[in-house]
Amino acid sequence: MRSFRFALVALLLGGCYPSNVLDESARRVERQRQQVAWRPAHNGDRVEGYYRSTGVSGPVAANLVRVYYYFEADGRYTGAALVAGADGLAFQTLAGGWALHESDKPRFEEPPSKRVAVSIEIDGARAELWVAPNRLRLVTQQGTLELESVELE
Amino acid sequence: MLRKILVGIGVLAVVAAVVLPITALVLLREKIVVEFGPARDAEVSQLALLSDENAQLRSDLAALAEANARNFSTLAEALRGDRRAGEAALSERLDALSRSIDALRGAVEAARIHARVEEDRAASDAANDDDSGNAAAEAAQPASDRDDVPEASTGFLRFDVPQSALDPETPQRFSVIGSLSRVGFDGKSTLHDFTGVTSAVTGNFQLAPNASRTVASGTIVVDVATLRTGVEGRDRDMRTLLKLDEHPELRFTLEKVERRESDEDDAATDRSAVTASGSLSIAGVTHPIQSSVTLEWKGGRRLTIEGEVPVRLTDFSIPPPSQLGFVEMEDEVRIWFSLRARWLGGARDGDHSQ
Repeated sequence: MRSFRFALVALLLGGCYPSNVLDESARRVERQRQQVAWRPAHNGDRVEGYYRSTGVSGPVAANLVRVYYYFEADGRYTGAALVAGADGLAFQTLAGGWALHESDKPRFEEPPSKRVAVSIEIDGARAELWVAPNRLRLVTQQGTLELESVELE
Repeated sequence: MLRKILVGIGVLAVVAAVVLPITALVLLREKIVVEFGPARDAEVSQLALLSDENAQLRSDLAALAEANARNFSTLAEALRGDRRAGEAALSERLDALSRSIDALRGAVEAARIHARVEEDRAASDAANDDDSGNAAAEAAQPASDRDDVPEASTGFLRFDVPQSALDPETPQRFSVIGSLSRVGFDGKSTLHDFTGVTSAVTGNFQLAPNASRTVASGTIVVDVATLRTGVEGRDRDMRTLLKLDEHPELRFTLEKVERRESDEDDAATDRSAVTASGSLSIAGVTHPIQSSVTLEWKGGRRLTIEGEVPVRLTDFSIPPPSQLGFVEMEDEVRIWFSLRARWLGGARDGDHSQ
């Protein structure tokens, strides 16, 4: 009788745990994509600061793992990138000049006082520039690089 | 008296009225001569008058013509000025339209580029860079399909980024991204079924994703202490059965990969079905296993590996848990895995991933 009571208690306790089998479709890790409101840059935007990459897409993503840039206000910059090559991963470092180039075709929806700076040039390499709060997006034919601003402590 | 005076005045008035005109006539008659000329002289006078009038008219006409000429000149000048002003205004409007068209073209191009970038992001994995923990998508297009991409992409913001593509026919090296991977098992018991899962997965391996048969190598390691079933008591019992203190890791050693025909094969998305063979170590006991695996390469540098394999606890000398003889767990459990691995490049000579 006593063992029956124990068994009954065990059954009741066991029945308190519901089935929690993970569905096959839920096995894969899915990250919530952060919604970022991008807009084309204009000459009022400031680029100076320290940035690290948050995403690389396009053909270049196969080999470009991580990028860091430090843009100075006087037009100089230094950068570092972790690149996957034939011999594996390796860092590259750079230093040079950067500049914003204003478009000679003002965007008609912008106020007349604002002319759009749609491209950034880094040592001669041009990219379309998009901005969001504390973020930059550089768009080229070879791929897109997204950066976030990080405060240097 | 008055009557006499008035009579006298009247007589004088009469006399004056009679005598004075007669006297005037007598005195002036000799001075007034009335002459009557012949008809020819009147005609001459009329011609002269007409001539004068004619001259006057001519003078007036000349003045009128001059005034008209001035007016016409002013009008012509005004018309010419209006035309010039109209042409200038039209030219200015055309220039403004041209600028607007250029601006529209720029906006369309910018929108097109923006849309292309968003398509790349939406077509890729939802996962992002693992180390940073930030959310960003990578391109879905396999690098091997890009014929228009130059080999050396030195222009990419001045870094020397090679455009080498993954060759799925030759062995490639990969590293497991733990934060984007899961390993778990599904168990069945008398009362209910349950899942244990962990993301504490590490490992490196190499294989040829599309080769029909290839010698593969590598190791996948799972941290036993991080396995969770959702019930603390059950987790505690599980760690005891798995001999956590002596063997804190589950280890799978990859030895071979073979292609197998499957409906899951899809060349468009670089998806292929393979059978992975190797050995699994649990609680210090090693046992050979074969697992049906799906490999998916979505471009960028990420390989997705998913599959499952049934194992028996008793094969690893693990007695199926039981409670009071009434609640028993089945001997067979299904181990499953969903891994994301970063491509590290082609296999190097003598390289054996550990």
